Amino acid sequence: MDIFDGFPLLSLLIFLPFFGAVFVFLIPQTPGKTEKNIKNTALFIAGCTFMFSLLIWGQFDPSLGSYQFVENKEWLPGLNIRYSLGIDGISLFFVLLTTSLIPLCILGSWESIKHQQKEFLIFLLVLETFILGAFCVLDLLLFYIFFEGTLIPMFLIIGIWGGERRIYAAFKFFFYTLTGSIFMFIAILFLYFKTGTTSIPDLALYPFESSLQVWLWLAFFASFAIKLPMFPFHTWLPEAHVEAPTVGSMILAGILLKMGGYGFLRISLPFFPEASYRFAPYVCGLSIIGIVYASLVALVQRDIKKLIAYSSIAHMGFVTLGIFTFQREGLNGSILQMLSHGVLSSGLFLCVGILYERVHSRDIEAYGGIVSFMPLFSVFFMSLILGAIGLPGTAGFVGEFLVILGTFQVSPLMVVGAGFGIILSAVYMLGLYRKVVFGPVEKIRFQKLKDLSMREGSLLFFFVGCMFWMGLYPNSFIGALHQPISKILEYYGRQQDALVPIFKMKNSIVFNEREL
Amino acid sequence: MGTILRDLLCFIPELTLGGLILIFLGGAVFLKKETQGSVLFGKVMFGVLGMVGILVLLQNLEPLYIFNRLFISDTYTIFVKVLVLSITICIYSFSFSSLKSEKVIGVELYVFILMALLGMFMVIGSNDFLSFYLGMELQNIAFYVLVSFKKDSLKNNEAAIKYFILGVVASGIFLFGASLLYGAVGSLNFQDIGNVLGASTLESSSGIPYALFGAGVGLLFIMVSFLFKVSIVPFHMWAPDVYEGSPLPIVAFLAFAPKVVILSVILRLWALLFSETTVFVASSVLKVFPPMIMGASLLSIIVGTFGAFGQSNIKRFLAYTGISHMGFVVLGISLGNYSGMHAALVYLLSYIIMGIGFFASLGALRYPPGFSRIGIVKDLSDLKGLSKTHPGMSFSLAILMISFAGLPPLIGFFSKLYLLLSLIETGFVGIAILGGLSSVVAAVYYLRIVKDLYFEDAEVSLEVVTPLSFFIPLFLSLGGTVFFCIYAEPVLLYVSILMKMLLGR
Repeated sequence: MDIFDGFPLLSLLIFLPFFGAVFVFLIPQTPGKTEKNIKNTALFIAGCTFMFSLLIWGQFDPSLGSYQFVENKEWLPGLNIRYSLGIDGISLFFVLLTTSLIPLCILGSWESIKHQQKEFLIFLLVLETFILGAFCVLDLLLFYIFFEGTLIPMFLIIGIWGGERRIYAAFKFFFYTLTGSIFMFIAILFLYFKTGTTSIPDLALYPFESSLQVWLWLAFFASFAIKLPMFPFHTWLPEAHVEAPTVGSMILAGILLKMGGYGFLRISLPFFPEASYRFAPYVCGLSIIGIVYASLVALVQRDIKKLIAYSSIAHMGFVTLGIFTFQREGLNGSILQMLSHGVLSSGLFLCVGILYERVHSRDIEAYGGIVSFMPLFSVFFMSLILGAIGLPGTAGFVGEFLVILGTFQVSPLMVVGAGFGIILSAVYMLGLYRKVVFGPVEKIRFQKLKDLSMREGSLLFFFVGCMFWMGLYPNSFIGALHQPISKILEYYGRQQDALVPIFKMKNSIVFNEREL
Repeated sequence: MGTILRDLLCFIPELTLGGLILIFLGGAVFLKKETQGSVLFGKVMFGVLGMVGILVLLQNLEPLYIFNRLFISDTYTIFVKVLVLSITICIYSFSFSSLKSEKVIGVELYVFILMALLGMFMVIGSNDFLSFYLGMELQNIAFYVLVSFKKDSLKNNEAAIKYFILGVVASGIFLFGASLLYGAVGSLNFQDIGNVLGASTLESSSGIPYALFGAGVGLLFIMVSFLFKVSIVPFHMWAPDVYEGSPLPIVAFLAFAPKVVILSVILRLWALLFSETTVFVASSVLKVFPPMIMGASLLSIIVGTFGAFGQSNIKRFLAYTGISHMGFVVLGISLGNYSGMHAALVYLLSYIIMGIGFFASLGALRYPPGFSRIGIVKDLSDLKGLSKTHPGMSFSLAILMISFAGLPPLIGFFSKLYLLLSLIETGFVGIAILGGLSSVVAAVYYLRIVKDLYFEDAEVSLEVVTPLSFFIPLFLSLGGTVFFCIYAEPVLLYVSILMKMLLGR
């Protein structure tokens, strides 16, 4: 850490893609000639950003409980709102997820984006800047700016390069998220007015009155629950996924949804422990309903992308369930679940994209027996599907297992619901695989299908590799998560005496956190 | 003698403008061909406006009362004058060639622009309702002529007559209010009114004093005419029709300059009469003013937002969005405290910065030759698919639209941020939520333009004219829109100094 003291590492990391986007913007565009240059430049920039984030990971000290690589500068005069950055274990992994996915997305879009490639890459890089910013900032207003900033590039990506109903999907995505965020915005302004600061570490220490906490918590919940998305607010997601281009779906499922979960961890839980505590049963209930409901809906989907979109909703149900158990296992599990889902779902969407490029259909019925022509693809697809089901040894297992472990300490009843969801996930995922990959070859045109190209193969190999790494050695992640999670749990230690246990399910419990 | 000389020195920009108007009028007589003269004058105008700008900047920053306190000159008036002058220069710079394409060029145009400018300078500097009225009428008459400049167009004539009749009615209402005020208070000087009202409240603590009541009614009429000028609901009806009928550059001028001027006077009056520092408001008939104005501004936010929904004509669309943006500005003013007025001025500045870019880029978009319509683009749907033919232009339009919608990290977001923050500080959380939600609704139609630009296929392949005079205002505006988040400090500090000065803190 020594040589980088006082060096704005995080600012560089955040704004490197942005400057890259400006650079790409300046490359003159002559059709048929410069596209390769543009793509290579964008890939180079995204790769540099990834290297940079690895450097940060190397410099990161997991034993420290405080934020690291902190930057703090005067920003808006007159208001006590500062440009402050810093990361802890939680943000570190989301940053890594982002920086690693974006180069893969650029590679994934190498041939599938047919027109306006330059604009696409510019939007992608700008999007990366906003996402990284949202994960790195330590100021609420800045967080809101970056959080909202992601909307525009994503709106354009869905709207320009999407499918047939792209305009409807883009607008639905945009306005769902914006409406939720407006409540968060007002709440942020209210917080600022109340406390005179928007610094996240300072606000986490501020004791809000309980009546106030409820309203503020609800305002933030509106935004994060829509972004995540949680059960009753999820309807924008299937539309957006189905209509978005492959790469758009990869980013949406891989990273953007995680911003909601990150928001819960970074803002809702530390700021409003009492309200979080009070609403936890409802959130957990909604999560369980979401898991089961989304799995059931996924069962009957004919559209592959929609099926994966609904499976995402189910997986995100595990995330909220884990967060609102307030157990170390649950929190660990929900973060790992988000990371693994980031890898798995974007991998699955890439698989769908690869199929779509060859067959031009997302309808499950249109497929069958492609294993005879695309054996390599089938292997990768199988591994990712097993990961999504949560087979032990894959990334999906660790997250779901830890979440269920955490839930069990709170309410065994809920575990039944969550377990039911896992079984259903096996049913629909394996059903999808059976219908698409196995079965008789009825369509003649399938005979012309080519197996994976070098580019596609190495992309999928990376996804599968990451999946097994996370599944077999999750300690490389859990280690750095220890300190930040302890910090979150501390807020609940403070609440414990003041509150009557609210979970009054079977064995009138609860929250017997070992550290406390 | 000494004071007269000093007063005249302070009045040099206005005197210069007056002299230039005479020179232009006189010069026009000696020119042989009208077209030749208009081109020549068109180029001279840049120098003229620049010179006036320098003269304004050379003024003394110390507060000074001029001509027996009819006018005032201080940092605030100089700031607003510079602002109005920069708006004029920006709009003039791109309107020069647009006006040529709309075939409304003539020597008179420059004379009337200068005349409007002179009127606006007088309004900005006024410290008395009498001098205010003189300036406002000069400005109004110049605008009546400017609006009716396209003599052969039916729509334009309709717009001009509407604007003229309604404008005259508003002036009449103003005069009526001013005479009531004079009868009640005995003076039309801003400071005197404040002093008399303050004293009479203290004298008679029981009941409504006669002077206060008369002054209240008078101020009500005056406020109505002000709100008419800034097109606040329910006095907004003229804006869509007048905008639709007038040439685009004139609309751009009309949309910013007179509104800034009137708002600057409203800010000054509000700080004097209705701010939190003036004690007499709370205990008198005047206390109905802030909630009344706040209600009107909320209404105009709502009417403007929903009115813009169904518009297909660009100018009508701009009129309705203008109504809603002006609603936000007046909402800030109506709070009457430092943060509200600070937010209002920041909002106004950001609206000007974005709006000039929007008008400049619209002015550069022309129908192709051979198309059924000619001249500057007229319908929003004509913007469809622009990104495929003119990526740069559609990119800048998209940025401006996103900023208008109030999305971070562009300037439109920060102006809304300050405004909502001031609302929450003053205790109006519900109104803040309403404002936030209305900006979500507004985002629908701003994004619809982005959709047209990027997601649709072109119906008309528009041409983009590319003289430098379009791009300088556009680049300035885009720069302000994008980089405000990084380096807002000087603007915000300056605005806060001005507001503290106005509020006497």
